Amino acid sequence: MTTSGTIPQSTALTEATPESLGELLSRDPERYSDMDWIKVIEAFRDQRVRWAQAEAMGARSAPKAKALPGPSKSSASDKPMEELDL
Amino acid sequence: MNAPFHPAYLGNSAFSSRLPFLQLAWDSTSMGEFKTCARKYYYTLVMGYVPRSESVHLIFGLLLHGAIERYNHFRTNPAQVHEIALLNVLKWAASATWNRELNRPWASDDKNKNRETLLRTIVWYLDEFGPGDPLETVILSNGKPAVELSFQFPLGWSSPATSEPMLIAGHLDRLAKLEGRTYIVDIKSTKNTIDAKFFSKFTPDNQFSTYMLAGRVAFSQSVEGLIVDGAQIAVTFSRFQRGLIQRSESQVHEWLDGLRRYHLLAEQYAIRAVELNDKGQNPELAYPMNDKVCGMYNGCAFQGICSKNPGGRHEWLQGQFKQRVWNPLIARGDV
Repeated sequence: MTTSGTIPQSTALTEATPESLGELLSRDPERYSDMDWIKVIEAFRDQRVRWAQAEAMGARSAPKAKALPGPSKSSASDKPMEELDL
Repeated sequence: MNAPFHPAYLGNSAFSSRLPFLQLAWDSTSMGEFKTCARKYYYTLVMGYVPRSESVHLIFGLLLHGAIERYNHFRTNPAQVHEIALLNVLKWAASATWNRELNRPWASDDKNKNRETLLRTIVWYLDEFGPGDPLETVILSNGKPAVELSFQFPLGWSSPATSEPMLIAGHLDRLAKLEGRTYIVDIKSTKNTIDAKFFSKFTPDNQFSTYMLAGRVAFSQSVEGLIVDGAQIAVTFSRFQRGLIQRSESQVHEWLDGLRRYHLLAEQYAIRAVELNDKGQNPELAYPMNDKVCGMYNGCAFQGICSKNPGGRHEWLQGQFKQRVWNPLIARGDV
């Protein structure tokens, strides 16, 4: 429990930094471990979340074409990666 | 060392055996080249010349299509949840972009279209349009998903010179249902913003008119239209937008009528090419250049060749290009 008034720190996404993604992508994918694949996917998803947040905070896109029905946003994935038996 | 000189039409079943330069089976690629410039068509389809290094845009597009196709195959099996299908697709794409010979990633000089942006686009696209997509892949009568469908059928006219029927052939990415209606689904990537202008460029469009005809004729589906997932590929993000492209019956008929006249022109050129060839002259002279399009589409790969004197082009072609056979009749295999 944090009691000192300092901002709580998390290292959960340390492995998903752009640097570590670049390092992973420079390696032969045949030698990836299951954990490496999870890191790659999570890193891309993390990028997407951050980009979507940045978009929502002010970036205005160009006029869009008439939109067709898209997927339901609530089901971005069937099951978290961690729960799967890889 | 250069590949041996061997015109692509020789032994190519898409070409006539009676009139060697005459293509009988056409796809949107060959039609597009012919409509753009007869000389470019001659170099790329009849002779089979392509640049030694492939276009980054072509490689990126093929890999993106391949990934989505594989995902759709996986997902028609109810046991394949999204995460497993995505993982399998990503493994395929990562391996396909790894140069095993040099033990390094695919080296692209394009800041928008490279290995990392491809893998990112696959994850972002499939997370957005994978689970929960209202488009449901059509299941064909043979039980297979309607994904990467090869088609070929006669156009209803023949070559006046040889009496051989003209055919149309190609591949559709996917047929899907939305609210009970059938659509052809395709994805197009660009570095530009996806807006109304992006979708408007597909009407009129040779490739999509071909697809609409094929959907109606080859797959006996009452195709409502074509759904395009536009994918904007930027350095730091990939953005998607779905749009609808439609063709009326009269528009398809108008396009077909134009195609028939292009085929008559192709036959005239083929007859002239044979005459020139028989006289020991260069048959390429039968195929006129359209010198108004040399600078379009990022510049024609053959501009440097066409700028040479007619007598010396062959050596330049052999040195700067490689040869391959493009046969629209070869069906793509199942994944």
